Amino acid sequence: MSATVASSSLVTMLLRAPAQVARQCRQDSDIRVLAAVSLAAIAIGGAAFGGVVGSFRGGAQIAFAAVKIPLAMLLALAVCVPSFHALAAVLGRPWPLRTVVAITLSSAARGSLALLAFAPAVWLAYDLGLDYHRAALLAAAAYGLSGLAAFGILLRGLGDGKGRFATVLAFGLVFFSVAAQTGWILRPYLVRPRTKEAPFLRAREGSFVDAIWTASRSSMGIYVPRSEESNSDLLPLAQPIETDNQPPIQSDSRNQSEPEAPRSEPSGGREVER
Amino acid sequence: MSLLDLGALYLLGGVVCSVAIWRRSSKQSSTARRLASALVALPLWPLWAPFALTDPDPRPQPRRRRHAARSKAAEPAGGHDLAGRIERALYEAVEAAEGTSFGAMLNAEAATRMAGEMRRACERLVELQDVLAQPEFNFDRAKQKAKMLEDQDASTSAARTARMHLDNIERLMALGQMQADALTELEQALGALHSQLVVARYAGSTSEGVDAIVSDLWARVEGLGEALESDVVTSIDSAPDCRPATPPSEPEPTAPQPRTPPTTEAELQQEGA
Repeated sequence: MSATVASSSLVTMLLRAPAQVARQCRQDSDIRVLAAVSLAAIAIGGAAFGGVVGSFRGGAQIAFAAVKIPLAMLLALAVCVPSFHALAAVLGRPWPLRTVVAITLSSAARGSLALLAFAPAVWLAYDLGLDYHRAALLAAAAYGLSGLAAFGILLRGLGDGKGRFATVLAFGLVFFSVAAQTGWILRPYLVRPRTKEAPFLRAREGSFVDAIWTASRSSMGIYVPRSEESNSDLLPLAQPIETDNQPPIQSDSRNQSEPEAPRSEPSGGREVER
Repeated sequence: MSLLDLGALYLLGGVVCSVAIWRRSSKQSSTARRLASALVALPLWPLWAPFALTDPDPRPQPRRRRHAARSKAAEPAGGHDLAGRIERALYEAVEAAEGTSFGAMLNAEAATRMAGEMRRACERLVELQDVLAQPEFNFDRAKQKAKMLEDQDASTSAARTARMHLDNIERLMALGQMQADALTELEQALGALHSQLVVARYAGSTSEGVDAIVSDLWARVEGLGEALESDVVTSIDSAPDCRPATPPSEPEPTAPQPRTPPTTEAELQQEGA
């Protein structure tokens, strides 16, 4: 019971006293418990939010997204922390690895708790019949806001002093690149309701940067016809890439002007999902 | 190197860390705890191994615990160390009360409230320590400056300001010491409560002793914030007037006199009027 009480007080501290958490990390005071609680918060918060995102399609996708969202976050953190440690040391904060990991984990935990808080609102919006694109935007907005919550601890954790801005910038660049690629590898999270079978993982289709490049080109009206392309990486992001019973749709704008199918109606098309 | 190769290497690192954590963790801690720690390290070794491999067992055995308490008592009372120690002592007491008739007296809700109050008190102590660590709040430097101004026959106002700054630093130091003392006493009371609970559990004694200590504990916890706040109010009320002395008989000052904001209640009322 005492462990439960300690954990709940730490969760409260993560949410309400980021400065104290940051100080605790820097002073290496009881950070093992803090790390354990943070890992649990990331797993639970991410799973709840993932479950809600997966509920857009329903079925197995709920479980898939509930597993993949915390997994993407934890994998990205695992890959990033050694470089955070090195960057912090180079930029004037030669702290022990456990301090850097504790600051990173508690920041991510705060973000995940914010995601947990957004989950009911996102669920309600999905239940009220939000269309696919807006659903994706809403999930992205929730993720963005949770990132701001995470920054609360990170900024305080780095403390005042020279090189703070550069350290935050370096951490941000490393984390966003790694997290974006990890997320890209583990997609899809949000799947259209009409998709017949939701895969756990999509086949590799280039990298996140390729996708950004393709999407930015398609937003400017530059499309690569299917016949000319050598691989599927060049497809616009939202273009259907294969259909069972429909002819391929060539234009992104056409896809967007297509009325959203009722959520229960399967169309058999497999589209690039976010 | 493909993603699969990288994944296999990563998992190999996880296996090595898991084995190291399993072997390093104290055999006296429960198997489930050791296993959980080792299993978490398998997929998340970059995140968990720095804690599991470099931290002592978080639940030391009674003998180690006593030794730790003795050695830590000799350390200077840093706010965070103290907060950690007090919280540990509180949860040990809660754990000892668990499943006994004293469980209702010291339940989870009460412990959470107490922990919150204690944490706030520790935060105040840390803030005070942080303030006093700043160069401009250095006691020796402020004392030297005040003495120098007095020796150099500086203007009365400058000397008074320096003296007031010195007094304030002294007051802050006293406040910090008071808060640290109160928290140390609280830690001792928690230790006494823990031992009393253990005695009551095994010797079957009445709840009188425990009851008295719990009441004392509550009084101390509630007194933590009040003591500091009342002292701060008293200090502000009794702060010396630092306005430069102006002769009362002076009919019309030729230049506007420097003025400090009102500090006492009477001054505030005067200001309002």
